[in-house]
Amino acid sequence: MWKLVRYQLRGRRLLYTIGLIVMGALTLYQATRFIGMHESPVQSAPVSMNVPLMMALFWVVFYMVMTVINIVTYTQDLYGDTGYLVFGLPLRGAQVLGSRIVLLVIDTLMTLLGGMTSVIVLACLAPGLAQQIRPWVGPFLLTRDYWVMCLGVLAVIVSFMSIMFFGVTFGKTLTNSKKHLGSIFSALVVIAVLWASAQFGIMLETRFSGVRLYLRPWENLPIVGTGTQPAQFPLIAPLMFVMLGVLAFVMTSWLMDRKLNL
Amino acid sequence: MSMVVQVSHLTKRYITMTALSDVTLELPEGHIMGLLGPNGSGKTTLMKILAGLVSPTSGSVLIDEMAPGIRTKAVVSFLPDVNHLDRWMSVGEAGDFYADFYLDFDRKRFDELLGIMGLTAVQKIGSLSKGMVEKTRLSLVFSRKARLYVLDEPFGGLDPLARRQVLDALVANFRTDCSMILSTQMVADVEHFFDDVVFLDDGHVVLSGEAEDLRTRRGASIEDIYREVYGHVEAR
Repeated sequence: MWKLVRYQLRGRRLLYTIGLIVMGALTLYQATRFIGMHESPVQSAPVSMNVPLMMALFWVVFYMVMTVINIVTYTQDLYGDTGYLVFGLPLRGAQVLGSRIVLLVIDTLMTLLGGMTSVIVLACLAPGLAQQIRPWVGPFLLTRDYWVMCLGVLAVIVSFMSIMFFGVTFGKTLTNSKKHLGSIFSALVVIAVLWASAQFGIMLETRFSGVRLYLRPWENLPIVGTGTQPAQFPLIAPLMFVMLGVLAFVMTSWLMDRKLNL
Repeated sequence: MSMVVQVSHLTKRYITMTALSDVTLELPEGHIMGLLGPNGSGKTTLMKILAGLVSPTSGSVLIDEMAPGIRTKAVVSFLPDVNHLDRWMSVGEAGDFYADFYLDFDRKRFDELLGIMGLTAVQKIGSLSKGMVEKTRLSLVFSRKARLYVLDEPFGGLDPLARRQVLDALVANFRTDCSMILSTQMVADVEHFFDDVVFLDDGHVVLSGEAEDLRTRRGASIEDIYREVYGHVEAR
């Protein structure tokens, strides 16, 4: 599986390079907004707070693009010619699918690290911002609840991708000759599963409305979110969604091993 | 003589069509089988099933007495009829890829074949002509010491000279402890390599047997028999 991850990363090196160059350029562009503010650090502070938020938004867009690419390349493997290379390998379906999940985690880590690097670069260039957040950076990165929240979000994203992969694979197992029929069917399966899980999630959340996860992810960075006050997070619906993701992973692996129609 | 391939009453149905219907065939060790038929006759589906890329609807398929799956993928060297290599890879990286995943891949033989084919390891797949990609793919497939070689239209993008090169490589690398299934429309060029021939039409086996026996019984070459069998198809 790791060998496959290595090759898939190698295949994406151009994409990653372009993405990181674009993000670097955006960071530097944002940095130019501080030029001339060095004389008045206090005045620059309000502007400074918007800039990293804008940067965070750019990284969210970057992550969304990488997620779409993950789905598109997987679909291309199933519906395109390169599938003969990947699915012809003496690997189990779980290993092929696992390599995709690992890629997603790598994309997530890259986005987090890239986002943090951007903020550090901007903080160095923005005197107002640096003064505001420098004391909190260290404690914030050691906040347990923040990492619990990140892991929870990652688990939900991985589950979402597993469901997407299941839909694409299921569509492909049903038909070979009518490729468009397969992709339409895949999309319908994904929509149906997501819709059903959303409805079920809402129902569970209503029924178990008292069950909440209380976290203080921003307790060491009180200028963001609720600060030292605990924030409420839904618990039952995300857990159900993660379980659905695990089920989708198992079923997709089985389909790859037993019912593939390239 | 041990059988490398045993296919019994194999049927493959999709939602909208039946690609293979009640196909039965056997391929002994050391034999080359010609899988012949017009477009849409089921050749590619049969080859994909043997390569473990398509699952049968019913019937049984055994390769080296194993059902298609992870273990047979390790002993079957499959050449699809389209370019299955990633365009970002160089020829050398494609070799690395095969060496990493297939234990039977012989790197030395791959380098030799590249030399014979006039290719270098640094060339990018995306920058190669169709014929050169075909040569790269064939070099990869023949560099494996597989039990079964499954070649789907291996001469598609090749000029006559390159075809000769490939055929020479095929003969030079064929071992008696393996078998090969080859589908092609260029029957005249390769028919003298065939030990067995299977004619498929609309998913059914319409004629099969030992190539020499068919030639003797019908007093015609395999190419002539092909014309005779598929005359109705050409006329359609």
